[in-house]
Amino acid sequence: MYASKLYSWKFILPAFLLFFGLFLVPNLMGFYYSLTNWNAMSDQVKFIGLDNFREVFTDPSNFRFIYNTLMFALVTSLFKAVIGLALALMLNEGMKSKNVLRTIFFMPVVISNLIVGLIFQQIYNPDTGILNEFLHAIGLGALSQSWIGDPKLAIWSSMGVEIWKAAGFNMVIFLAGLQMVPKEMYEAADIDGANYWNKLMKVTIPFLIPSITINMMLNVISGLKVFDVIFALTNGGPGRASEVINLTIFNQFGLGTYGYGTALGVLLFVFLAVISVGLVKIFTRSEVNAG
Amino acid sequence: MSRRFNMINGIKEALMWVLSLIILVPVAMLILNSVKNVTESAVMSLKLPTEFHLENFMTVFKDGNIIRSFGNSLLISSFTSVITIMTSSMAAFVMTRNRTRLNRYVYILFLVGLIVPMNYITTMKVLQMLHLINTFTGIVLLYSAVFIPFTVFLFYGFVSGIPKELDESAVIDGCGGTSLFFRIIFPLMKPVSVTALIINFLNCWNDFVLPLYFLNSSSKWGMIMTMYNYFSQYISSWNLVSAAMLINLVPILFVYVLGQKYIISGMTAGAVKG
Repeated sequence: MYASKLYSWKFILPAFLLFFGLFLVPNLMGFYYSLTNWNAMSDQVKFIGLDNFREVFTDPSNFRFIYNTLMFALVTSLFKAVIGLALALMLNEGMKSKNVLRTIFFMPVVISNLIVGLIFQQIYNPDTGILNEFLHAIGLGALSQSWIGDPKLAIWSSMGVEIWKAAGFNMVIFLAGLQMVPKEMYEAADIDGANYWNKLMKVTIPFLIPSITINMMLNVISGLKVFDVIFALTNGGPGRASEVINLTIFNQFGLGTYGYGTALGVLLFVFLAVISVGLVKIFTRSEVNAG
Repeated sequence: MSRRFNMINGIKEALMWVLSLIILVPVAMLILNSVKNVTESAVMSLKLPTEFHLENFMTVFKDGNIIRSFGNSLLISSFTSVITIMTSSMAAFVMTRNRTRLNRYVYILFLVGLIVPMNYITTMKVLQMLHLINTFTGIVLLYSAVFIPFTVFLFYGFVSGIPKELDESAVIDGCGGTSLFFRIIFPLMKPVSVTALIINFLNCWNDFVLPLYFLNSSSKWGMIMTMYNYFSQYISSWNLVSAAMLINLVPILFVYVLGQKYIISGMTAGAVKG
């Protein structure tokens, strides 16, 4: 009684109302509108059952953007974490300039995705871009590609941009995790004559399981939601080769096919919910094993 | 032994500096191109400009609506940050201190907001119903709604560390719930408030997805959106576009370098506890 008077629910209300009204309500409405033919052409909203979802899954040209989205999330998540871990292990030790280097590697995280996407458009330019120039300069000219002009490559090139942007974020989380490893563990391992690889596998990685969990969760979530990097870099092109769910939704919004776009939003919602619950299950199990 | 160790460290350090070029080169490219003439900047390379054209920046300032869009960005980002911090800290404080089953569920609901996506199309409908589409108020409230889950999470972790004895002694001194929070607790939250302020401000400043969906009138656009528009108009003048991007980048990097400590502590808040 006393607690509920001192810590009044009224304090929760403003935040909850904002979040509920402008975030949760649209999501809940999405479940209804995804079952309708809601569009910009007519005021009549008619219930059509699962037709929108049927359309998503029966049109083979749609498999591309679903595949792209899942692939993007998977590949970028792994690379961000692995590169982030490598950077963290390197910059955790006694380098003179480690603080400056940490600042540099984290910098892309704070640069706007739009600017990053537009810069990389130039870097990837097949004739004038510095990526191909660099490959020619080191004698690997044979590897130079039409990075975003080739339908097969475009989505992979956009993954490269995403990894460039967020590996530093993973690094910072791992650096925080490395502070939690007790020094005595390394001393004990040294006495036992463990080499660097043993120490990494037997001491460092088990202690980093929570950091790995957080990183992978955040990477997968942001990977599935990707929009702006691809919008700025390829806009889904060439054709629809590098389209992802959020970009398709934006295009449907522009076309005025709201019901169908909303159904795709619901699909993304389901992907995120299922995949995050799955990840939590996998990681909590491995934590028990490690502990 | 120690000399060999120094040697290895030196090699590692040199290697890391080489790797850092992957980050630094694109930025250097942008700076170089912003002072070239149109013909030279058509090839976005690392070649030094034959002459420095600092007037590119003047051109951008003159016809790029920089001042107005800077004002818009400042307005939207400041209001969003303040609303987000005030509402989130109050909510987190009560949810941490009074752990009823209901409050637990509400907190979990906030955390769900960290995972699931926004449904943009139905959000448009909600904004239309509230007559908030294409308004500053609408976009500020929408950003706040999106940032609240993360900010609640940040404050929630911090309030747990403020001893409850403080509350008790404040109550003995005659504080009610409101004055306890605003006079005692909120001032103690300063480190998290600064962290939340910087992170939300940067996220808001950098975002262009919400304006793309919900702001149709270019007079309300912030800097990033205006720059994107500039880019589509002057796509053949990469020197001007680079200058416009650089004008966008400078405030962001300025805030980053000054507030780095806070940004990183906020980002790692959840990771350390596991």
